[in-house]
Parts: sequence; C-alpha cells; structure tokens
Amino acid sequence: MIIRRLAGLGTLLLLSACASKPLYYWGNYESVLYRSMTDAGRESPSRQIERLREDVAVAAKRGLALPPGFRAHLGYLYSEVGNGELARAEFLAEKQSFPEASALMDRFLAKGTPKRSDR
Amino acid sequence: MKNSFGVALALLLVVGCASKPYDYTNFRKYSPRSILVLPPLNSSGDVTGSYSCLATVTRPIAEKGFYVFPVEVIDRMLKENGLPTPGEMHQASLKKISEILAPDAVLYLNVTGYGTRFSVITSNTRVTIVGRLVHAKTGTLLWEGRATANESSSAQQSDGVLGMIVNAAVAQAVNSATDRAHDICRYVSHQLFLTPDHGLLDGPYAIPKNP
Repeated sequence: MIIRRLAGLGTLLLLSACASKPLYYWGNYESVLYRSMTDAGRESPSRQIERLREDVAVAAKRGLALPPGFRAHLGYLYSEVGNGELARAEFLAEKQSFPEASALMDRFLAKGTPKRSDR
Repeated sequence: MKNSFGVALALLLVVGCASKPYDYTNFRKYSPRSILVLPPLNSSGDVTGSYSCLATVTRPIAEKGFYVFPVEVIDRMLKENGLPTPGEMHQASLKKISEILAPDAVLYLNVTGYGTRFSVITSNTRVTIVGRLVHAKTGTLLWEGRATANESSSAQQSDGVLGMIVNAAVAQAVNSATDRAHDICRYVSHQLFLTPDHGLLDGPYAIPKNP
C-alpha cells in the first residue's frame, strides 16, 4: 500500500520532469544499462540483445529515432556473443545516425570491441 | 489502521544554490556536439551508487540534443585499458581520451549521499550529483552544476514511542530498496542537466524552439 503510493508519486515526478516531446524512443535501453552495470538482476548478453531488439522494432514501427549510443551498445553485445556481422551492421548504423561516434565506431570496425572483464 | 502508518513523503529539491543563471560564455564559445560521460566518482560509500547513477544520465543529456557515448561500452574500454575504477578513469589525460574517442567534451560526475540514512523516527534517502563539463581539446571548463534530492519518510502522527518505531521500520523497508535510490538518482540527473539557466544549453540535435 505504502510502497505503491510512494512508487506512484515517484512516477508522477518523473513524468513531469520530461513533459516535452522526447527526441528518442528509450524503451528498454536504460533498464538494460542499469541491470548490466549494477547487481540489480544481471541479464545474459543474449537476453539484453533480445530486449534491445524489441526497442528497434517498436521504434521502427512508430517512426522514432533510437538514442545516441544505443546501436553502438547493441553492436557491442552482438560482438560479445560472437556475431561479428550483426555487430558491424550496428556500428555502421551508429556512425550513420551520429557522425560524432565515428572515431569509436571505426576503431571497433577495425580492431573489434573490448572484452568483457570482471569488475 | 493503514492511515495511522501514513507516510509523509517530502521531496525537497535544492537545484543549484543561486538564482543567478549560469555563465555560459565558454559553453557557447566551444559549443560541444558530443559528450563523453565518465563513470562517476562516488564519495558516498555506497558502491552501487556510481553505476546506478551512470545508467540514468544518458537520457537527459541526449534529450538536450547531444551525442552521448555509450556509457557501458566506454566503461568496459577504460577498464580493459588499465583503468579499473572511476577514480583512475578521472585521472586519464584529455589528450589520450581525445586520441581514442574524439569527444568534444568530457563530463566528470561525482555522486554523494547515495542510499538511506536511518534514525529511529525517520529514514532518509538523499542523492547529490555534481557535474563538471570540460572541453576535451583545451581542458576549459564549459559548465558545472549540482543537484540534490532528499526524500524523507516520517510518521505523520504517532501513537507514542511504539508507534514511532513501527513507522520508522515501515519507512526503512520502503526506502532501503536499491531501486528506490536509483529512481531518485534519475530524478536528480534530470534536474542537474535540464533545469533552465543552470543545466546544459541545447545541443545540436535539439529541436529549435520557436524563433
């Protein structure tokens, strides 16, 4: 009861914080980042890919843009599960949408991505 | 019964500390397009604070119109290159960062006070984020800001000492969830970057406002 009330108020505050029309479709991206970078229910790379692909589908259907870094992150996950071809496609897509990413994407295209290391 | 445990939620926000607008002279002069967000330093003693907050900063900065480098991928890269902690990442030279990633600006964040403080009658979740945006090529400070949210749960009314203790226990159970502090973190980062006159200026991808 109390939890629900607090959560409700929190959501309200969040909604009011971003009232204007967003530039991007955010879908699962932040939740994927949060879970992956903290211990709040870590997901396997293939599960993360699945959740991000849902976003790609929804964004395409609604004609919305994906956030900066999204394609790079998805490409990174693809390379992590050994799918180099799909990874390349994502790196090229990131670069095409955001030329600011060129240096990093060219590096990944030429040398591959950093390995997952224990933290 | 439930009403007697009513929790009064107070979100007190202190955004910036002055009403005077930020001096954006350097920001305008260098007008960055891309921002590299380094994993935040964390002087709160709560180890999850740093990365929990990092997951919330991309959105407000990107919605402000900037290219934001993929935060987790960057974290991995830096770790692989011999910088295992945010503290070491913040020491990396701008020259090296520019060579590899070529960002226009680098954002240094510090998260303090993450988590829950608990006393007998109230519990308190407070998150403060301090940010400094630096021009990557010259090291010039382009912007700095600070935002805090303080959420306290306390008993509206109490039936003596026992009532107060029960109330505090309920509030603690609610607030100790990591996700709760993460939500507050999200709120604070929105405040930090989006507050007019104190947050970031519009970036290149922002939709121009009516002329």
